[in-house]
Amino acid sequence: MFVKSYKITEPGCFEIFVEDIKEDNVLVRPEYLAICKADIRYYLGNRSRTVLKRKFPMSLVHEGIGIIARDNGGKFKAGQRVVMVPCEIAECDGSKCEKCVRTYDYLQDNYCPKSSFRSSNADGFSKEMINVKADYLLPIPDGIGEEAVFSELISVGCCALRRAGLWGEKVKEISVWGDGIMGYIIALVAHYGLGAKVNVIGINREKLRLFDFATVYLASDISSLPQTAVCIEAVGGNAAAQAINQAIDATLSGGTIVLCGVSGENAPVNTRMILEKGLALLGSTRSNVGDFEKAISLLQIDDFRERILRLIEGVDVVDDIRKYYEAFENASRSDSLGKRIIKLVF
Amino acid sequence: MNIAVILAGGTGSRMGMVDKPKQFIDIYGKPVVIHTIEAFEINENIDAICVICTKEWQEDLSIWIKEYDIRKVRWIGDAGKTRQESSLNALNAIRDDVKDDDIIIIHDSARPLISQRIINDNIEKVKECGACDTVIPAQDTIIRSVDGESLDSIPVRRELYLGQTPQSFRHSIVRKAYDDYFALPENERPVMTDDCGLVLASGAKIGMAMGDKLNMKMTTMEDLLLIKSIVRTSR
Repeated sequence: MFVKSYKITEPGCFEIFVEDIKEDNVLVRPEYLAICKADIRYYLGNRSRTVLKRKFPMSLVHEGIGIIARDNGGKFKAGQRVVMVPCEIAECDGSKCEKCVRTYDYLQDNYCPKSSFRSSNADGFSKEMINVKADYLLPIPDGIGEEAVFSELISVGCCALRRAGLWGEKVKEISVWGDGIMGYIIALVAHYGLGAKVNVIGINREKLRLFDFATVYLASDISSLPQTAVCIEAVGGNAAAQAINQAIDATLSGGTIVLCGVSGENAPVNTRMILEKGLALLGSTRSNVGDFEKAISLLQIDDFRERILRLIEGVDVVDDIRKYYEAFENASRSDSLGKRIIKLVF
Repeated sequence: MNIAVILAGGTGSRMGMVDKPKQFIDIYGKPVVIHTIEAFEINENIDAICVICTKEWQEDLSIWIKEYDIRKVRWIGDAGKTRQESSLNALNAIRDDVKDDDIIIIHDSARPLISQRIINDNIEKVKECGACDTVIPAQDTIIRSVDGESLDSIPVRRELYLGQTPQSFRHSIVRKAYDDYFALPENERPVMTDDCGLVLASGAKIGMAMGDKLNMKMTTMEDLLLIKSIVRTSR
């Protein structure tokens, strides 16, 4: 079947591709998409030339929901709305690795060397139709609208807390560094998913005002910040080092710091204090199907969903490549907490 | 119910060395007509498909439908001598299963790059207007010449569009238009090149859905090569 897609062929340049795709799994029509910082890095060329050369041409965007066009396996009905999981694993019996990462609860699919991730080492969702294994699709319950496009980000938050061994535990208090969308969502997940009191540390007073479910602190003034057993860094970029070092200071001895931000350069961190306090630093990125299931459960909580809805700054109907460029230009320039989402029409 | 009618009744070929009608030529291992049917097969708003082709190709078509696991084709009808007769045969084939309010989406089999957006826009436009043509704005200046030797007029370009397919209608509207047309003695029937011309002549209003340059019709060998050069094998 002929399917159209937008693919990035070099930084700042998209082309329309028409491809004859396989139909051996479930066919899904991507409907609502959200552009992520990782997509913007490709668009702006903020990765090494070698990496870009290896990945391009590639369809971008890994946050999306779609509509089932056809499922020969019978699990889904045509017209059903689904969340599309971007991390997939090829058929694998685990025999090639010493121990399969999927057997470790704290690792799982997103750390499997055989896994592919859309808009990273596989085509993303900027396509008229995609061919997906049924296991990587989750039905969207009634009552949840296009805000389900944030399922991926919510699942990344769920993954971070799962990997830190916190999911299902009663957690009293957590501190989160970062006043961007990732910080907002991880703080929300910690609050509604774990029932924790959440402290958020950021630099932007306007954005911090939107964290009305948490106690907020300016990074320049955290003298009164309580010490917690778990701290989460969701800052990334060049400010990651400062945030990590503040988190090291603010974590109780024997505590855990979960790193979720993608740092710009190598971050110098205070290892002496890590040793003295016996801290564990845990990296977490992406998510798996189980994390998406948790995300969808959270979206069924009215207060949680209402706070996710606040992140939608508008919906742009993208029915030609010019509007696709505009969506990326706007996303590149945006410094706000939320996002404009794309309604994709081919 | 929304029913797609795929017209694959053409017998001629302007495809150079290829000795089969263009809609049955393979593009990357699959006949053009199947690529086209698949676009409707996977559209969640299409409930059933009727394919019109000549008797000699119907067995091949049935085999391909099975081979490519096409599930929405409910009728295969005979091609007529003209496009109008083929469309009429399609309307007759589906007659017992359709209601007046059902939407009929008639598409050329030789336009395999039809997008899902065009199909959906056609359906929405029919709900609004009762009938719909797929068009793209004319970008080149159109010249009118009756004798083919000299210019008669240069119509205002902003009022001109190029017609594509699908052409879509409420069943009651297209049925009436065809009944009226074929009620005329053969020598009194005006020459029509498409379904919209016939429906327009019946007095119905026809809305427009925006087409797409990619929704091109494969008519010549050059078109086939162009489509093949556009389509890339997936990664």
